[in-house]
Amino acid sequence: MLIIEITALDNGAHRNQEGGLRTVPEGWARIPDGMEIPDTFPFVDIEVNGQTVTSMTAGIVPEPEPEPEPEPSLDEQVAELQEALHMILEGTTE
Amino acid sequence: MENLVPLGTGNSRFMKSNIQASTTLAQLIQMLNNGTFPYDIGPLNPAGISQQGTPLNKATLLKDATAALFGFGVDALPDDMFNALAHTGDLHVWKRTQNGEVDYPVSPNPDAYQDGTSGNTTIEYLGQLGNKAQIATGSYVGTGTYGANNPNTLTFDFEPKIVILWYQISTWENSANVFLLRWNYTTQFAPGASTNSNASDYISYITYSGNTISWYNANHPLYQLNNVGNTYSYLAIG
Repeated sequence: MLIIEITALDNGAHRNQEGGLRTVPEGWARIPDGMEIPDTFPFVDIEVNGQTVTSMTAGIVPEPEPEPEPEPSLDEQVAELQEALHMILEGTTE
Repeated sequence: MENLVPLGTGNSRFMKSNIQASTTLAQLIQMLNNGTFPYDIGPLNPAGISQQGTPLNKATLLKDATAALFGFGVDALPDDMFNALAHTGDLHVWKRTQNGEVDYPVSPNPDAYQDGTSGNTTIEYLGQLGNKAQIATGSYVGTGTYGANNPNTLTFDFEPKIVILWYQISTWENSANVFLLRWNYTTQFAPGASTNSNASDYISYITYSGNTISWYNANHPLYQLNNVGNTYSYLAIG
């Protein structure tokens, strides 16, 4: 069973869960089998009757959060420290 | 079961009454009007039916032997059985070996049968039907939100013992990040954990409420396992 939280989040998406549920949680609705799921899911506009979705249309997908800058790996950090140490030692030998 | 199908010719049943032969028509009418006319509903008249139908009686609704399988006595009602079936998780099961034949009686009463051997009958308690492992699997699609005000949630029909979350690492087709959470015990997990000084940025914080688990990361949907359009999978065992 595919369920969707009735109230959308601030960005227009709906929390969702697909699995072997027997009970639809309060505040959620069941998407009937066979209902067409827009490609924008879970950014959708829905109409519900009780805890059953009766209509689902495509919503607007916002720009994704920029990927966080990858942290330097341990090897990269060691290489940076080695280079800094080398520069220091070179400086003291002048 | 089969329905009784009368022909509609007014002769599907016989009727018997013990009114006296001397009863007058007026007396008969008065008895009928007063609701005091005595009679027995007689048997079906084969000439007036096309299909006899399955009779409704003790043998067809609830045999004593069937009631006994659930630990009920001869006075059990069908409603008692329906109630027991509606609460099968509460039923206890035994293995009974009697004269080499085996059956599995059940009862809502845990003391209905006693373990051990008596004569040619051996009873062994097998457990309670509801005390069996349950498994739920499923997935969700990331919404792109994060933070304490936008936690992820997963709800189950039962309270799991553990929940396993995983998602495919897009760059490695045969690899996945897997997180194993012990229910009501694991309070943090860290997708994208790093050994650098900002390791706390990666931590997602977990709460449990009934059959629902929630978690959030304060910094990025990626670390909350909630990237837009990504599908995340779960397995719950309880």
